[in-house]
Amino acid sequence: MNTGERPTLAKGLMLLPALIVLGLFFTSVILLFSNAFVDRGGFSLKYFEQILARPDYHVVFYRTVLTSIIVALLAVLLAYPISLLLWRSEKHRNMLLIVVLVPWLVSLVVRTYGWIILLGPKGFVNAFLGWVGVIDTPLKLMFNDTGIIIGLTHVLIPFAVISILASLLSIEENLEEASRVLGAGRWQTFRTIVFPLSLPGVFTSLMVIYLACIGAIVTPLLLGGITEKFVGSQIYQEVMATFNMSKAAAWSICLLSLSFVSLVLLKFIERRALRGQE
Amino acid sequence: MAKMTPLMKTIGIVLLLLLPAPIFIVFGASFNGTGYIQFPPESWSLRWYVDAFTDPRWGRAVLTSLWIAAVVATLITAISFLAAYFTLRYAPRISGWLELAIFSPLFFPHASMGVAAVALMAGMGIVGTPIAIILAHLMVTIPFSYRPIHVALKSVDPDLIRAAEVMGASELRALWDIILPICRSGILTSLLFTGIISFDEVTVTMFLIGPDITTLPVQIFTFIQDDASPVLAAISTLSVVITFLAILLLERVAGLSFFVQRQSS
Amino acid sequence: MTRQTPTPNAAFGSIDISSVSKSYGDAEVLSEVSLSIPAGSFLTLLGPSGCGKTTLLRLIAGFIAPTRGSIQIDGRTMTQVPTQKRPIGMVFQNLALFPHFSVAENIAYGLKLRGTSQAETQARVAKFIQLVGLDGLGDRRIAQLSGGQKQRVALARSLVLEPSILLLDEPLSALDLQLRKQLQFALKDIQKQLRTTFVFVTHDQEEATMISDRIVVMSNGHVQQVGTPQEIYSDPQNLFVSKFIGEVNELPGRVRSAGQTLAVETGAGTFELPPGVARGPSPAAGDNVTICLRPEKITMLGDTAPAPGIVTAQAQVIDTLVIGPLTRITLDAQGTRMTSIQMTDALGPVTGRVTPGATVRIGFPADAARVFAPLTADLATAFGDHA
Repeated sequence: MNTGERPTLAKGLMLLPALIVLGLFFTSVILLFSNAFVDRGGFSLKYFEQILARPDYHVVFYRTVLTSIIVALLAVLLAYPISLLLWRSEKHRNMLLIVVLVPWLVSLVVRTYGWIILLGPKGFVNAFLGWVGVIDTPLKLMFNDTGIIIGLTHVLIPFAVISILASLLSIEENLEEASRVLGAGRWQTFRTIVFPLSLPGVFTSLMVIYLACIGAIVTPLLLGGITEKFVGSQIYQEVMATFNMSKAAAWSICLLSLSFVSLVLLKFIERRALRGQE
Repeated sequence: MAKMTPLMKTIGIVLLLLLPAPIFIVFGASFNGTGYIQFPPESWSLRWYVDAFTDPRWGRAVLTSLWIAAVVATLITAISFLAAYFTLRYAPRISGWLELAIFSPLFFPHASMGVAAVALMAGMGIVGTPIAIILAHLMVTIPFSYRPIHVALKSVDPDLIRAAEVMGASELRALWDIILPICRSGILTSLLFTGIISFDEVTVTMFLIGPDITTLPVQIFTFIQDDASPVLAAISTLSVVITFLAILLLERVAGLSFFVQRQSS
Repeated sequence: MTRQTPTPNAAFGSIDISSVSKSYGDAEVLSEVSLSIPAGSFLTLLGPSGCGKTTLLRLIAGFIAPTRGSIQIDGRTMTQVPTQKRPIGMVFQNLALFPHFSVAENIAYGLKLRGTSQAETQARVAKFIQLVGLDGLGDRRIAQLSGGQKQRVALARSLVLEPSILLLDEPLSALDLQLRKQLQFALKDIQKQLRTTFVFVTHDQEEATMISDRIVVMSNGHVQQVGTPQEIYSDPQNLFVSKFIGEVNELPGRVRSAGQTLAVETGAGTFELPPGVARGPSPAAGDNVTICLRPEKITMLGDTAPAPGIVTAQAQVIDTLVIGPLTRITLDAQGTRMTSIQMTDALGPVTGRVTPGATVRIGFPADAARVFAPLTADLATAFGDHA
């Protein structure tokens, strides 16, 4: 809607509030760095050394990344059939979309709480299995990696559904029919036309879910407990329990670099997979 | 459009129904009469709701979350609208840069963002005040507000503005009479979407609460860690209902098509 | 009014549609359509939007199944044959090119599905790229092509499989006029070279006239008339076809007497016509009818007595418009607007008198008129859509 007019300075003020919000954000990032890299008035890598020297912290990083990769793949895999269902059901799509949106937008804490009720030692699943008589002692479904993976996957599937659905919906009309006229069966059409064209949504999901996972605090803390630490739960402890802001900032920067490296890697894979698709 | 095989359709439906399942579990647990989650439930009661409504801490948290969500949604929608309107109309050349800056928080892991927010708010000495929470929520919600508004404004034909102004409308008049009504659903999407995000935000907010202020999700989080009383189930149900109503309202007034539009990156 | 053609054509590429109906719920979009399409013909389904032409095409393609009736291709009933097994190609209105494939990959797709060897695939892709005039563009992405080029890719993609039938669903509708004309000729040319049966859907009667051997005029789920472009234009079988194809003067009137001659009283006067000009049910005295006259049939008469068989009337000239070799004259015959189109040169002797305001004597050959019953209500609404 550019009308080709020159802006006046007064009109430029309209940009100011947004710049203030962005300014606050970038200031907070700078403060994060200064907290992590400055010690007693000088540049220092002390806090990073403290983190990198501890083998048990390596496990935390390793677990966070591995879990996040598993969750991202699992969430996309489970989301795909739901996206297909929504894509095909034109008539009820809005209603089904609400079934996806509500779990997506309901607070993380509430959804995780649901899993605690389900998976906890005195939870629904154990109570049910005990009542049926399948087990005597409660299964350990929580406070381990399984709990974290189940919880995070469930929390993030809705996003994958929505972004894959967006890709499917952007597929031009008649492409499937064209493929069938040219001699492709149902499965061939899916494999060669529909699936490749849904890849942008798949990659967006992988990226966003991976990011959300490695930066998660609430779900790993509640479902993983104190022993199975995530980078997020470690950060939470540094801030809330030991009040060590500098170390928390150093953790955050490690996390940031981790996500940055992973994103570049994923972008590279995406480029190769989507070669020529524009 | 082609049909799905019955098998794929069944898989899709089962998976779809699993999405809200934990929410229904919370819902069911909130009516459980006995002390904790029990299977099969022995009695049904509303006692947890009574407990929740009589405990002033919950009432305060709900109200805090609601008013903060309202303030954040209004502010960020206005901020995004002004910025998008200015860049699209007068400075399309900086539009790309502005978007890059606005969307950059999306690439920030939430945990890092939480720490950065504490660092900033501590620096300003406002941790534990509503201002801190509101400012943090503005930073979190700006991409989600800017996108629907930007998309809506972009679709406005510049000739409409020229036509209005040729007919004698001032810029403000044209904005009010022509542009705002055309962008209505984008603006409403921004308002409700950011309101919901703010109401349910926990990862960043939990670093910023203080003795005088806490939000509903953060308080639920704290209580889960302390003692998981079924009051939590009742209060969680309430939070689900509020979010659900907001989504229904969004569907009514603006439609849900925004969520499934492909981002043009 | 459907036309039965009992003898099925046995050559490759023939289509026989017998009493096909298609309903969605209560709405019947095609009713009792029977049509025989001979192999190697260029046939156009023509009609306003919603007339059922695209539905008929999709039935032939097998995307949808008929509610009643059956479709045979080369004498074989298609009811149980899925789309991918039918000997057809199709060009879609939105072209439906695969955006993630290059031009060559799009064209090679069907060959790949058939397990054609790489060498042969390459050779045939190259041949068809050339046939449709896309030399050198094989590696282009679809997004890098112009509208006309995309059109040609869609055509090549279907033709490379050498289907005996090619279905085209308004493939030119998105193009600008000039490109459209150019591709119309290209299509006709390619069809002549390959002798493939082309079934072409359009709502544009000029386009239909330009490219087809045979036109099927459809409306409201019924076939109105089947014939060559010439037949459809000069001898329409009902008022709908007459109105839909080309320009026509309509003189609504009432039959005064029917018998040796058909006398019709209209606002412009009472005309005595041979009974052979009536189409459809034969009119009786008192019936409401419409006389249709092509503008080029209305001539300006001098002072001399009219030749035998020429019907005359008085009219006032409202306006004249010279469009190169043709002159368009707007007339008012006792309150009835009429249009006459004449060769400008032929008007020579009377030009002086054909000026706005002048009263002239006009005439038309009695056997050039057509007399039709009024449109039925459903056809009238179909028309309202179009006009």
